[in-house]
Amino acid sequence: MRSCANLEYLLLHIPEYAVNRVSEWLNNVSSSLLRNIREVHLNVMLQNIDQIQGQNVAELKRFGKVTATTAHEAYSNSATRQALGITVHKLSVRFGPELYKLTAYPDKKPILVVSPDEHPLKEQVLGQIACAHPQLDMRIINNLSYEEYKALVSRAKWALTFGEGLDGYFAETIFSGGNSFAVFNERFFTPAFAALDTVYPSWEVLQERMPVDLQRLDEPIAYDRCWRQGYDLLTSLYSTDQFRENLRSFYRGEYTFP
Amino acid sequence: MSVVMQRVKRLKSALRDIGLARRVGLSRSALKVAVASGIFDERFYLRTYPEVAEAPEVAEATISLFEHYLATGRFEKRKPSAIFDPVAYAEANAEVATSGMEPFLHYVLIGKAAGAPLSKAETILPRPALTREIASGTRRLIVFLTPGFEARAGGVLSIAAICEESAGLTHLHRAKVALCTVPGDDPLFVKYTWFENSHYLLDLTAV
Repeated sequence: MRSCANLEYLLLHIPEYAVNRVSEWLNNVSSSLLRNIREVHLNVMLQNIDQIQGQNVAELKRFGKVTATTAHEAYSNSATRQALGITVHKLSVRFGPELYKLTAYPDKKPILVVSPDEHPLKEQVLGQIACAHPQLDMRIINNLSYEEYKALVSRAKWALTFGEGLDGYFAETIFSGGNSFAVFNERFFTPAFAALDTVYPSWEVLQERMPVDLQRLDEPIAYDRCWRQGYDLLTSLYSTDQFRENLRSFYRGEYTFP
Repeated sequence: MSVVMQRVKRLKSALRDIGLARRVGLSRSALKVAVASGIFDERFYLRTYPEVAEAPEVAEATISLFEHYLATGRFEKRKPSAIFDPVAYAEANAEVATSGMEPFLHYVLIGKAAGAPLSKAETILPRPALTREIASGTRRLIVFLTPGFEARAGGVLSIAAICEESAGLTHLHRAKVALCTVPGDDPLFVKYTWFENSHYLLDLTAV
């Protein structure tokens, strides 16, 4: 802001977890760096609805117009608009099957990709799976480049996420031809995902059923049927063309929940 | 107002300036430059150093906060505003140490006009050139804030993707687009290496 002496319009896209820090920064610089900017627009990028907890979005209103854009369908609604008290626009993410190498069952390897998220039951769950499927190569993602990770996912038959549920580990595996396991989390999944064979209502159910389902689904027809359900659901939600249209709408000021 | 009255007013003002310059240990011309720099932010100074309000001469309104800064604060390496950190400035400009000036005075008298970096973070290549390119003549600016550390997360990929796509929509927003680190993260962090990308992260304040 120091170098932009002639600035008239500033749009700051702020990741949701950093709202309070950016507010503090704005508070510190508003009387020096921002004083000549006629129009300030602050957009909170809601990529993980859980991370907005404890962030004071209303505080941003002191500095200009405030909006929020969403990444997940599950919280792209009027309830979020009401809870935050600001305009909400459904943006989604640049994500679609064309960005991934689709590998069919015959070319897949017995690899289970595991998300690096911490979870109290992680050790126990992975222990049970290892016990039931000693031949399975379990890979907890750690220190891989994104390109290495994508290459691994395209080879892997399976993925298990300990994160928010509908996350990259879940969705990218399916777009790469794999089957993904998760526990249903209503804050990120839309209700339709609850019907998938590999999305369980709780960690207890996952512990009980996942070892059995790994066995049951490990043949071409069952594997492909299960994959197709997840794939169809994801393609109904994610498209790069739709994302681009949503982004254009945002810059035109045409918001989903004004 | 008569000519004589105008001269008396100017004289009084000059005497006030001379008195103030003496009190804060500056020449009159240096004082003028310090005032004109606009770097001092009273609200920031008071918020950052609340104890200043209790200093007898400030509490009794004998001197202003700016005078306090000039007379005392700058020698104690206090920050006059959120955009100037004397310690970071001295670190980034080795000649400050040999100039015989404290960092604030060096900046307003020499560094500012010379475009001296305010911190080491501003000197990391290719930041200076990219910052100039983004800022030059810019009236409309869109900034994406992203973690200033090697955060291996889908959110980072997503921010980079939205930033890229936004840069292609200038016909809609008529703005330049920059990717900057979240204030408070590592100011020296300049690029993600865990995924293929051509983004260099800039410093929000410097932009």
